[in-house]
Amino acid sequence: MPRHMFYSRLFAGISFLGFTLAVGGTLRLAVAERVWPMAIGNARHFEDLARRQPLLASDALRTAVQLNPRDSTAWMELGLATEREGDSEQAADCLLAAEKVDRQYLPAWTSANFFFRHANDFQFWRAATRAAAMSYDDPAPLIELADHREPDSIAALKRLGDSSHLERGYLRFLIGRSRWREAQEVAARLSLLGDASDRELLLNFTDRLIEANEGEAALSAWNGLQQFPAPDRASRGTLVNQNFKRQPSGQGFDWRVTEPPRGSVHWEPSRLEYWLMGSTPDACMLLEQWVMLNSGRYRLRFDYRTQGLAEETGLRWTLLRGGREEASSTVLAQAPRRVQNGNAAEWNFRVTKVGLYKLAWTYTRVPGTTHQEGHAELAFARLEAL
Amino acid sequence: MTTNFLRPALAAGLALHLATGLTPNLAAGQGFAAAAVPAIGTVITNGAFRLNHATVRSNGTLFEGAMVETGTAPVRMDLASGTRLELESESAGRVYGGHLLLDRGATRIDKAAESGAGPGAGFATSFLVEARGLTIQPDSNSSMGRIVLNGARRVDVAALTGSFRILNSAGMLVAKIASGRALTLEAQSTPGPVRITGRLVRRDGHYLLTDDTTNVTLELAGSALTEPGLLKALGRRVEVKGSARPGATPVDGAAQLIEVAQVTPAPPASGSAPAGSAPAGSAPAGSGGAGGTAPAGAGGAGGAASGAAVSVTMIAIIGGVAAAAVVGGLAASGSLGGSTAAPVSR
Repeated sequence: MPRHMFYSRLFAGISFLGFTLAVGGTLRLAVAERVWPMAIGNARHFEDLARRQPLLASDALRTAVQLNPRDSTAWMELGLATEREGDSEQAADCLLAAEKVDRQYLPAWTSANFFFRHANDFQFWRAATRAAAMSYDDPAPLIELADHREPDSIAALKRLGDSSHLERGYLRFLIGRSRWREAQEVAARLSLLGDASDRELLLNFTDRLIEANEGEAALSAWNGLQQFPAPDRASRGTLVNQNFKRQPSGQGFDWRVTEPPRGSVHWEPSRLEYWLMGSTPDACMLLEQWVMLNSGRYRLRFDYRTQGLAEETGLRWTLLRGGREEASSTVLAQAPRRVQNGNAAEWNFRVTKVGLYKLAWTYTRVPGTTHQEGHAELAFARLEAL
Repeated sequence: MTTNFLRPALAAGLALHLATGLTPNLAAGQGFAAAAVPAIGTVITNGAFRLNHATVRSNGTLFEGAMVETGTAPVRMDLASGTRLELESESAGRVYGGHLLLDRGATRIDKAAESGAGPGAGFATSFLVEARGLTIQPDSNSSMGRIVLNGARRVDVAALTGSFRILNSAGMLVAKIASGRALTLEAQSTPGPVRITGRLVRRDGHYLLTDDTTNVTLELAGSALTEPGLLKALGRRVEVKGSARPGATPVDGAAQLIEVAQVTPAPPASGSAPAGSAPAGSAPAGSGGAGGTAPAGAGGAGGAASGAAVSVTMIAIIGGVAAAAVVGGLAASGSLGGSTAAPVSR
């Protein structure tokens, strides 16, 4: 037989053998997968039995781990079953065995819970840290456990392994519990990372602080956003985005624009335009911005224009604190054309208490006037301390 | 001086003792460590569930007031008190050490351990389930039952083993469910009249009636009871309409004093059971839903047992709660609180 024939036959034989082995292995796995519930000698059969008959769970699971000592699910379930029976020592052994054979999230999470319940701090932090390192889901349940053991959030974060995933989870957890001071610390750490995906979370945090009347903390959280492509810095006694150069975001210390009912609003750089309809309600909010103010006198300078509205336009500025009106301008008069810079309209007011205020531009129909379709435009609004 | 020295030393010793875990396990049930662990139990499932709105796989730890929501897989909750519960699939509830507020779906009480003083009561009580303004209370820790939120307003309660008591939002007993029985209950928007049916008896000068459907004994009073011919009704099955007399204390053994407006003879109990025997129309009919063992009243988690072709529906209204023993009949009658259903023996 020529040499080349021999080699080609040898190659064909080896290929056939390999193919046959591969098909056989695949079929074996497929059959094993299908028939496991019926196979008495299979560990998974006993796991299934334990789930269906809780009273026999421990015995069935013991058999399961004997049949397959590398089955972490059986070890975990046996651990939980023996815990239920009151044998915490054996339960701990089972859960540690599960961690040993399976270095993924679930055994670590199960151990963390068990050792938490049994107040074993050392084992709890070990397992919790391991679980935290592998957690891709919402870490809130793990954080809740850690928080019960270590109420200092920064210390707990350090013990859990200090990842940005955990910091985000911790911030959400603390916001949910209105623990503002600690949330501020975690938010500051997160801001420093400058990850753009955190921007929404941090903006939301700023809003929550504003809602909670935590003005100083809100300012600091807002200014922490400077790591991101962000709005202007905010400070006491000044307005953000004074010239409407950026589209108002409606968040934090930026302008919050409200479309008048049955009317409309349109922004373009350096201008905000409202259209009020005849059917617009008697009173509606148009624009607002939160601002921290010290006590003292202030002047609001603004440039506006109206068209079609009544002589007494119904437009005015209001300063609110805790939902109560603290000061209000007179109703703005009709202004058919914008004034030149330097001759802007102004409103002076006094603030008696330091705190968080809402400056609002509103429309309230003046009694005796009728609804008129019209247009109002605002070009800038600047606040100055006097 | 000695005391001043001893106090911090003792405190430090105690702290060390707690920190090193030497404190014996005092908590019942699962034997959670007593050292300031706020956990009330464990929750286990063969899949995933939501715990306080976060997705958790396999198992977790329950704290007081934890919100548990199930998806396709039911969860089992083992509380430190020894109580065992199952929250069925597509269900939700808030779990406390002593009670469960069932918000959606169904739950099964497998074991109801004593959990301290009950609401409004100064005595130890077993684990409670609260659903739609009703409190479902197992009579003993061996009581097993299934509670299903049925439709928009009804609550189905099935006593699998042991008996259950149902209280209204004011804490008044409105039904007792014996082992193997089931009731569908619906709290009425207004307290309304009382309607009960059962055998009228007289004991020590007091008129008493144990309602066939709810198994609750009520004391009857009022001028309607002095009408001639009422003596003939004694010992017989009657239907009573009236209203609760507010603030009145009933005789021992009765849950409430009823001012009777009308007493009329009632037809014999279905199945021709003799007066005073098992409540009419309350026999289990068919099996339940996911649990597989619930009597008809419990139905499936989704709703009424439409297959139960029972023609007579026993409806009682006590304490502003309408109760019916036959779900199939209820479906036919349309509403627990209604008054026009034809075959209803009111």
